Amino acid sequence: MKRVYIALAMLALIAIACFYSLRKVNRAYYTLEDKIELVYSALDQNDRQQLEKNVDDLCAYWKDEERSLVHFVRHAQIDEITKSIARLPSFAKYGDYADLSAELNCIRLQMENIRDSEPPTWNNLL
Amino acid sequence: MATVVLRTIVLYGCIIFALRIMGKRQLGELQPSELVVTLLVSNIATLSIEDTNIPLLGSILPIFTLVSCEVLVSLLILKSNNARKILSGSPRIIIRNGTIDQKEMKNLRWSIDDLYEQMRQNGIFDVNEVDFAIVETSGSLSAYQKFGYRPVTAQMLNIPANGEPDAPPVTVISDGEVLKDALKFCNLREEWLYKILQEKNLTAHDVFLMTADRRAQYHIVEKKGSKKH
Repeated sequence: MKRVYIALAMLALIAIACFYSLRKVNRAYYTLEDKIELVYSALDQNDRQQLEKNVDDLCAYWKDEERSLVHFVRHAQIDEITKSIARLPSFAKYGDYADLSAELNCIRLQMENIRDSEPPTWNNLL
Repeated sequence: MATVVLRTIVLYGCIIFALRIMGKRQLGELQPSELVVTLLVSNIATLSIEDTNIPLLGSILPIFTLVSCEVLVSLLILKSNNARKILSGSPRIIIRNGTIDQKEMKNLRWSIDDLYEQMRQNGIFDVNEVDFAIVETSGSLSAYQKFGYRPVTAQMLNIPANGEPDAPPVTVISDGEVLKDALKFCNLREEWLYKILQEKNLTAHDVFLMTADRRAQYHIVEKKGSKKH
C-alpha cells in the first residue's frame, strides 16, 4: 500500500507541476503581449525615446522570463524568441521600424504558439 | 558535455527510483502493462539524454506519470478479477489430462518447438510426462507432471521432519560485515558469532561469507589473503 500512496503523491506533484507550468506560460504570454503593445503604441506615436525604452524593457523582461521558461518549454522554441528579441534594440535605435514591427509580430506568434501547445486541449492531444 | 553527463546521472537516479516504486515483480516476469512501461521509460529517458533541447522535466514527469499509473493499475489488477483478465489476460491450459490442446496452441501462436523449449526449461524432456501444462500471463509455462514422474518428496516417503527448523540458512557475515538482522532472524546473538570467530581465530573482517541457520549450524568462507590473529 505504501507504493500506492507514493504513486498518488507523485501524481499530485505532477499535477501541480503541470498547473504551474501552464500558469507560468500563460502569464509570460500575456505580459509579453502587453509589452509588445506598448512598443507598438510608441511606434504609432513616433516617440523614439519611449520606443527605445519600451524595447529595452521588453528585452529585460524576456531575459528574466527565459530562465524559468526553459524548465517547461523546448529550448529551441525559447531560443527562437530570444533571437528575435535580440534584434529589436538595433531596429529601434536605427529607425528600422518595418523590421521592428515584423519581428514583434513574429515574437507574438511564437509565444502564442508556445501558449497554445501547453494546455491539454483536444487538438493538442491529437 | 558536462550538462549531458549531469542530466544522465539525474535521469539514472530517477529511473532507479521509478523501478523501485514499481517493485520487485518488475525485474522478474513482466506482465503486459509492465513491459509497456519499461519500454516507454527507457525511450523517454533516452530522448532527454540525447537532446539537450528537451527540458529535463519533459522526461522526468512522463516517467513518474507512467510509473504512478503502473502502480495504480497493479492495485486495480490486485483488487478486481475483471481488470486482471482485461489487462493481464488469463492463464491458458495447453496440455489437459496429458493431451495437447492444439486449438489453444494455435490461439497462443505457440509452435511445438516453443512448447518443448518451455518444457525443457522446467526440466521435462518428454511431453508424455506432463498431465497439465499452463501458459501463464507472463508467457512462461507451468507444468504439472503425471504421478509417476513427479519428484519424490519426504511426505511421500513418510520421512519425519526430526525437528528440522523451517527456515533456510542466511548470510550473517557478508564481506567482513556482520548482518545483525540476519542474526536476529536465526535467533542468534552477536556474542555467539564472536565466540565462534574467536574459536576459529578470526575476526569478522577476515570472513568473506558466513551463513548460519536457526540450529546454529554455520559455514564460514574466509577472505583470500586474510591474516589470522
